[in-house]
Formats: sequence, structure tokens, C-alpha cells
Amino acid sequence: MSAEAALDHGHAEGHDDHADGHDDHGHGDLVENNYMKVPNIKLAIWTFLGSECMFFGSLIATYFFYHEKSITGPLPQEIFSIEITSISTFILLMSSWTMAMAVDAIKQGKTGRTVNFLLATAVCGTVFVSFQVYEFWHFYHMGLALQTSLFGSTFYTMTGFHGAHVSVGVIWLLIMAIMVKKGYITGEKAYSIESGGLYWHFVDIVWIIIFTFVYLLEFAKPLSDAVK
Amino acid sequence: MSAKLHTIEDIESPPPDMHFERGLKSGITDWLTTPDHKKIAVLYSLSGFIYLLVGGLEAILFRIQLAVPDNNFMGGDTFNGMVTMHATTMVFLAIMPMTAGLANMLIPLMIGARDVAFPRLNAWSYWTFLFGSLVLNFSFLHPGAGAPSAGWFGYAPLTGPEFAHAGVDYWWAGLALLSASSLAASINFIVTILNLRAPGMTLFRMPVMIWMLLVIQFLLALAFPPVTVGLILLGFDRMFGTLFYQVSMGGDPHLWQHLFWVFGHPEVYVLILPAMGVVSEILPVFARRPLFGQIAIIFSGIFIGFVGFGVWAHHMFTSGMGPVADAAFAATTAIIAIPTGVKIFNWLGTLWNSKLSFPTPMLFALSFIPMFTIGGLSGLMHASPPLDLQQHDSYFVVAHFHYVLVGGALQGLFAGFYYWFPKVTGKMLNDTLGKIHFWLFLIGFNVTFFPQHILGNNGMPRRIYTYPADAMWGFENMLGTAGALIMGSATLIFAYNMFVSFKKGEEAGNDPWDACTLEWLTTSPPHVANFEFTPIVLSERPVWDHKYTDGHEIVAPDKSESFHMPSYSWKPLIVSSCVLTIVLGLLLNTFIPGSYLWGLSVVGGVGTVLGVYAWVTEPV
Amino acid sequence: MSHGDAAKNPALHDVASYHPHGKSYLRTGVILTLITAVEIGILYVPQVPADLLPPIMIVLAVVKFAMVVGLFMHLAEDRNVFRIVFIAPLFLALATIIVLGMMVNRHWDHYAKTYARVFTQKSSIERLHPEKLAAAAGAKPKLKAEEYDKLFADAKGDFSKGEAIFKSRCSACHRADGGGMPGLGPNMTDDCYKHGGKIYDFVNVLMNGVPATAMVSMVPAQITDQEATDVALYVKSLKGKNVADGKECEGEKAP
Repeated sequence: MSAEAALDHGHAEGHDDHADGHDDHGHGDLVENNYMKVPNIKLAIWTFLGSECMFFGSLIATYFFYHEKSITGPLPQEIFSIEITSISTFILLMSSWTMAMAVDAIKQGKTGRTVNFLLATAVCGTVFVSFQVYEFWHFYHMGLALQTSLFGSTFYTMTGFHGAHVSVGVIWLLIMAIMVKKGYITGEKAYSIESGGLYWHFVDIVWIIIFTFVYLLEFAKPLSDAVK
Repeated sequence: MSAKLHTIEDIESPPPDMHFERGLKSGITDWLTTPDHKKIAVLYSLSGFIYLLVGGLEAILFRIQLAVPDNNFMGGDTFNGMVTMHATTMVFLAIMPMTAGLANMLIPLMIGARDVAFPRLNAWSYWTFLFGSLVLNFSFLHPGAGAPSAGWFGYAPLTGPEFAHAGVDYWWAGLALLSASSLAASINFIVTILNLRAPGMTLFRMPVMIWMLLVIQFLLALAFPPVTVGLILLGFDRMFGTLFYQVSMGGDPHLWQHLFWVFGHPEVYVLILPAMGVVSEILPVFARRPLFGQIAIIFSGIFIGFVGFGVWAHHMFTSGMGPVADAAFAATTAIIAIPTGVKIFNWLGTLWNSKLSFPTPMLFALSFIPMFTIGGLSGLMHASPPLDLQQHDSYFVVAHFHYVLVGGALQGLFAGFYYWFPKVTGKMLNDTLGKIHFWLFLIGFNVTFFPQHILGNNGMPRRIYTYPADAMWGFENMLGTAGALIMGSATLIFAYNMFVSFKKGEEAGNDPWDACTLEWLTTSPPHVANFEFTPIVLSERPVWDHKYTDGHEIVAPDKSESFHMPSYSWKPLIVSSCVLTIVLGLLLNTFIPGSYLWGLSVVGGVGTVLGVYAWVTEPV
Repeated sequence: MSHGDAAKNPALHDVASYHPHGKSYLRTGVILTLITAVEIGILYVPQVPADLLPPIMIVLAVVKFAMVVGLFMHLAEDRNVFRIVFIAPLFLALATIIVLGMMVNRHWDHYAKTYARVFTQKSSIERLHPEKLAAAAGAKPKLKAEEYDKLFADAKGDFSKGEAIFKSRCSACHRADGGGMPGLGPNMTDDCYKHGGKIYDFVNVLMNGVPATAMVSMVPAQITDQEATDVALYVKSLKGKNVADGKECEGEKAP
């Protein structure tokens, strides 16, 4: 980059219309000329999701570490209900769709539509958590507590943390909906909603992994295992 | 081209309200609500240094116990508590925060930015760290229990509910807070380094120090989650009676070891890479030539970061993993020695045939090389499982990691403090006191830890609170205690030096060392917005080129450039306090079962949500 | 804010030039639902061989994962920097899970045996001295039945050595208190025995195993002759204890 071009580049983007010190609300990015030309918050969320891969990876690894090593207690096949869990899985999947639609709406500057889709996503998330709560209550009454067996400890902890992440996501969605409604976030700041969307989709893909490997594969055992 | 040229001399001292030094003497509200990375850096560095003294005191106390055979200065559980707290304090509360202090101070300055990407999150990270450190140290006051005494690596089931007292609850809760603090900080720095660089600063024009700091942020972001999970599982075992580490119900102690060491090994690279960055910055300046093989050093750092995730089970060679696992991890551990060697040879190449001068920062940087090499060689010996079978849990390991952590990381941090103190405070540290600190510390350190190689080979195990006279270990242990006292005195001299020089040290000026990187462009202490003008970078030595090469403008000429500085805010402290309340609720509920004190956690949770809402909607 | 601001600052979103993605999101949503339906439905199709189910499930899950990440999260068309900071940790997490799994879980052993012989963990006797194992096959207990009974009487109730070995080696299949595990080892604390209730019989089972079951020969591959005697004495001491929640009677009742 020649010095001249660099100077022009610096000059054009150095000027800031906040010279009077007053700012609009919720202005997240202090530096307008980001080197990589991406919003800070979006890069931050993607990095955070990378870290969450290791977090959920460790929880899932723990589940598999202890898979079929329980000494007592109801077995997974005895208490899992694929029918019910399929419904909650479907609802979470649909919430990813409503989230994508919310981001699509804010990018078109349609704030009303955005709020509606954000609320729809929050509702789906709440329904999912309710199904989880019901499932936990149901398993508890079939004799599986946290302290019953390794299966109890690992299952409840892993899915419990996932459910907690969904709940935090619902709160996040509601905060975003309020901020859009009140005008803190407009079309230009669509990346804020997009960043929240990234977190929500991540929570969905973690569930895809858990549903497949913990629930479905429980019923897909190979036959020739002599230790069974 | 109507650009006006500005040279370094033209950058005068800014008006008083833009002067950072006013900040150093400002009121407590300023410090509690600051978003300024420089102030936060001072908070981290001071806290880290204080904890260095605390950890050192803990070490001196247990060294007194070990000085002579059959001593009764302290009993077994107290000894275990001292050892556990010494290690936990040194790793998490001293080295890491001092590194965070350097990172906070230097990252925006060296990349030409005005602050980090998320200034309030930066402050939140500091307060959460502080609260975590307080939770950890509060354990000393717990009636009937005291400090955690299960080692800094807290192996379960020793730390489980049947075997460990309440000290361990403070331990896992404090570490959980520290991990949240580190995670937020690492994301902050990654975004800062990638997104807020000055125009023209491509990744390979970044200083090596920034590269090393970038690598460790990824290590922290990806290595902390497994130990966070491990700590949560331990906490659940202790609070709710889960079975993760309950052997009688099928639990496996290996689980804790894996989760801990998947974190623990990258953690030691987090501790050493910044020190290597410091050495890479200092050697060229005092050898008066550019770093030899800069690209190779950068790539070695990246390689160490990656492969560092593949060696963790070398801490578990004696735990019965089986021959295949042993062999695989022995191979990866041997491989990771190679990039470290690359760095050492490149540093030597920088020094070869150069015009060396030896102010204190250079002394520490130079001494890093042999001390770290000795530690690295003993480490390489551990990489062989058959050898490790002999060395594991003996003082040979203690010698190894103290050579790399004290001879390596701590000396690197000392070098950094001496080198950048003038930039932060505007005053030079007294060089005579500095040299006394250096020599005294180097002697004390070697007197303590070199004999421990011999102790280890003579069979002295770790973590024993006393030993019989006929074991013939008395002499080396006495040396160990003597050396510890010498190191303590040296560190106190350093503290005195910092205090006295801050008050009436020699004025430093903008660029006392005649160095190359962007932080030397601004005033000492820096302008509150770091640079009056956005620097434009055309090489990896922008300030050097500007001083000694013709016609390189490195500042944007428009003096009317206005910029938006982050505002002061109470939210980081408030939200951090709410998070602390969540943790306190869990702890209190464990100590006083059936008391409904978990309600405190609920209150904390609600407070956190409300606080975050206020945070994201407040005008910045 | 005008169009010009977004042009000056690429970090801001340019509303005016954005094309809605609604149709493609709907398409993605429908495909995801269909894949999920297939995943669940395939469990009810008995013709699909069970060994094939895990790979199919894994592939379908990976496809869903990739669609959400690529299309809903836009990684397919977004900047490289996002791909790097997310995909590298993803693979790191996967690698960590796989390595941990390989070191521990029995099912991994099954797949390892089927697809790659490299990772089986044999005891050192099996690897280094298979001839010793062969020589030991079919051997009988060294003492006579009455001699074992005399050892039992002489022990005067102290079976701690055998108890320690039982708890560390046998509890995975017989449970730590000897009550038995469903689908695995029988209850050792009742009065029923499948292969004889004398100490001599216990030692015999330890030396030769029980063919076509998970009770493999333990001597000399896992424990020594002396340890086998200690364990057998301990097991004899468990007779009649009838721990809570133990398995029901299997085999013949011994007096």
C-alpha cells in the first residue's frame, strides 16, 4: 500500500460524526474502520462459539466416557421416548428457521417483522425447554435421578446445560426484541441480530448432535457385541 | 499530497485532561468504572504482583518446613494447603494476571489502536478475576477447613465429597470465576488484534509479542472449557451427589485427569509464550539488529499452539492408559520440542556478532534463554514414558517446571516490566537496583532448584511434608530454603524499585530504548487515546523506519481527526458482582445445607440479566 | 443514516441493496425437517441392518449440522476469518472426543476390532507370552476341594485381600457388593450357583472361564494363582449375605 493511498484511506475513515461527543444508543462498535471489515460483535460471537464447541465437546465426551458403564438404574433404552423427543427436536429446528427469518427481516429494515420472528423464536425455545423439563420430571419418576447412576449424572448434566443455554438464548432473544422495538437497533445494525442468531443456531446444532448420538443411536446398537 | 509530516519529537505532551498519568493519580471512582485498557492493565499487573508476593510467602513457609528432616513447623494438612495455594496462586493469580496486564497495556498500543474492541467487557474480566481470586483466598478463613489441600491440579476423587474439606469448594468456585474472566478477555483480545489494527499493519507486520499474545488467546478460549466442565462435574459431585468421580459406582479417576490436563497443558504454553514474546521484543533492541528469523519464530509459536493440544496425556504416563496411548503422546511431546528449539536458535542468531548492551531488561531476557533451555531439557526427558515412570511425582519434575516457569516465564515477565515501565509511568526504573534484583534472583533461583534435580534422582517424592534424616535429602532441602529466601529478598527489592522510581525516577521520554514498535511513538505515559493521530504502518518496524529511513510518514496528517473514547461505566463492576453472587449462593448452600441460600444465586442471576440489559442499552 | 455511510463503513449493513433470503430459508427448513423425519423413521424399519444404522445416523446428522452452519449461519458465503475461528475449534473438539473415546469406551473397542486392529489393549501376558496362556488352558485348580475349605476356616473371617481384588477386578460385572449386574455377572451373595458352589469350583472358573460368556479366564492373564485363591475365599464368604437389590437366583441352590 503506498503512503498516499494509506493516507487517503486513513483520512476518509478517520472522520467521525460523533465529534460533539453525543451518541445514539447501543452503539457497539467504537471503531468504524475495522481492519477486517467485519463487525466486532460478529467476530466475537463466532470465536465464542468455537470455545463453546470445546465446552459441549467435553460434556458429550464425558457422556460417552461413561456410556454403558452404569452399575445400576434404568437404562437409556428403557426410559427414552423417541416420539416425544422428536417433537421437541422439530420445534427447536423450526426455531432456527424463525431466527433466520428474523435476521432476514432486520436486513430489509422491517423492524416490526423482526420483532415478530424474534418472539416466535423465543416461544419455540420456551416450548423446547418445557418439553425438557417434562422429560426430566418423567425420567425422575421412572427412577432416574442425578445420583442414581453414571447415566443419570451424565445425561442430566449434559442436557441440562444445553437447556440452560437455550434459556439464556430465550432471554437474549427477548432483549433483542425489546431493543428493536424501542429503536436501539435498526437495519444498519443488523449484525447485532445476526450475532444473536449465530448463538441461537449453535444451540440448535448442539441439540442435533445430542439427539443423534445420545437418543437415536441408543436404539441403533450393533448386534454382535459379546459384552451386551 | 498535502500531508503534513509529524515526527516523534513533534508529539508534545498532551493537555492535562488527556494525560494518562492524571489517571494514575485519579480517584477511586475512576478506577472502579474505567474502560481504559491502560488503567485495567495497571490493575491486573498490580494485583498479579501482589499475588506473586503472596504465593512467594506461601512457598517460603513450606520451605521452612522442608528445610530440615523431621521438622514440625507445620503439620501435613497445613503443608498441603500451602503447596496447593502456592501453585494455584502462582499460576492463576500471579503469572496469568501479570501477562494479562502486559497484554492489556501493549495490544492496543502495539497495533496502533485506541482501546480494545470491548472496553467494558475488559473491565468485567478484571473484576471477575479479582472476585475469583478473593473467593479462592477466602478459603483460609473457613472454620474447620482452611485452604484447599488437594494440589493445584485437584485430582478427583481426592477432591470429592468423601475426602476433601470445604477448601476445595472455594477452589473450584474461584477457578470457575477465573475461567469466565479469561474466556471473555481472550475473545476481546482476539477481536482487537484481528479487527483494530492500524491501517497497513498486516498480520506479518505485527510485532512478535502480539503474535504470541494472539496465539495464547486462542489457547485460553479453547483450553479453559474442558477444565470448566471438569470443575463443574466436581462441583456437582460435591453439591448434588452426582457420580462423575465416584469409583464405587463406576466412576473413573481418569476422567478428571483428562479434562484437567487437556486444559493444563495448553495452559503452560499460555504461561510461557508471552515471555518468549517479550524476549523477542527486547533482544533486537539491545543487540541493535532485527530479530533473526522473525517469520520462523512466529510460525513456531503457532505450531506450538496447535500441537500443544495434542500432548496432554504426557502428564498421565503413570496412570495406566496403556502402551498405545503412552507411545502416541510420547511422540507428540517430542515433536513439540522442535519449534521451541527453532526459537532458541533464532534468538542466538540475533545476538551473534551484534553490539550488545546490558541494561536490566536485557539481562533478564538473556538469562531466559539458558534457564528455559535447562527446563526444556528436563522436560524432554519426561517425554519418554519409561524415564517418566522414574521421574514422575519426584522432585525432578519440580525442578523441571520451576526452571521453565520461574527461569522462563517469570524472568520474561520481569524483563517486560523493566522494559515497559518507562512507557507506562514516564519514569525509568533504577538500573542499579535492577541489576541487584537480577543477580540476587538468578542466584537464589538456581540455588533452590538446581539441587532438586539431584533430589529427584535420589528418590525424594513430591508432596511430602517431611522426610527422615537417613534419606540423605537434608542438604539439598536446606539449599532450597536458603534460595527461596534469597529470591524473596530480590523480589522485595524489585517492589521497592517500582515504588521509588514511580515517585522520583528519571524522566523517560517517549522512546528511552531507541526501539522499533508503535508503542514508542506516543508519549510516556501514553495519551489517554493512545495516539493523537492514527498511525499508518508500512513495515514491521514502523517507528524505526520513521526515525532512520527517509520520508516514511507514519501519522495521518489531519489534526482535526476526532475519535470516540469509551465512557466510564459502573455496569462491568455491577454485573461482575452479580455473577459473584451466583457463585456465593452455591457455595453458601453447600456449606449450610437446607438453608435455601441458593436463593442468593437466583437473585444474582436476575441481577446479571438486568445488569446486562442496562449494559447493552447504555450509550457508549 | 444514508447509503453513503454503509459504503464508507463496510461493517454497517446496507439495507438498500439487500436481497431477501426468505425462500431459500424456507427450503432449508423443509429439508431439515425431512432429514429429521428420515432419521427417526429409519429406526422403525427392521430391514435396515443394525450395524449400518450408526454410520447412516452420523451422516444425516453431519448433513443437518452443515446445513444449519452453512446456510442459516451463512458460513458458506461469509468471510474466511469466521470459518477459521469456528471450524478449527470444532475439529479440535471432535478430535478430543474421539481420542478420549478410544481410550475408554467398550463400543470403541468393538469398532476398533472390526475396522482397525491397532487399538486393542491386550494384557502383557497375552502379547508377550501367549505360550503361557496356552499351557495354562484346561488346567485344574492346584489344591483339593477339602484343602480350599481348610484355608477358608483358617482365614478366621479375614478375607480382605480377596475383597480388594474382587472390588477392583470383578465389580464391573458382579457389582462392588457382589449383587450382580443385569445382563452381566450373577449374584454372588445368594445361595444359587451356576457352576458349583465350592471354593474349588470358584477357582476352576477363574482359571478356565465359562465358555460363550463374558466370564473369561482370569488366570494367568489378569491375576495370579494366589490372587485367585484369595478371591475364591472371599466369594465363599459372600454366600448368604443377600445384599439389597441383588439379581435373582440363577443356577442351582447350594445348601
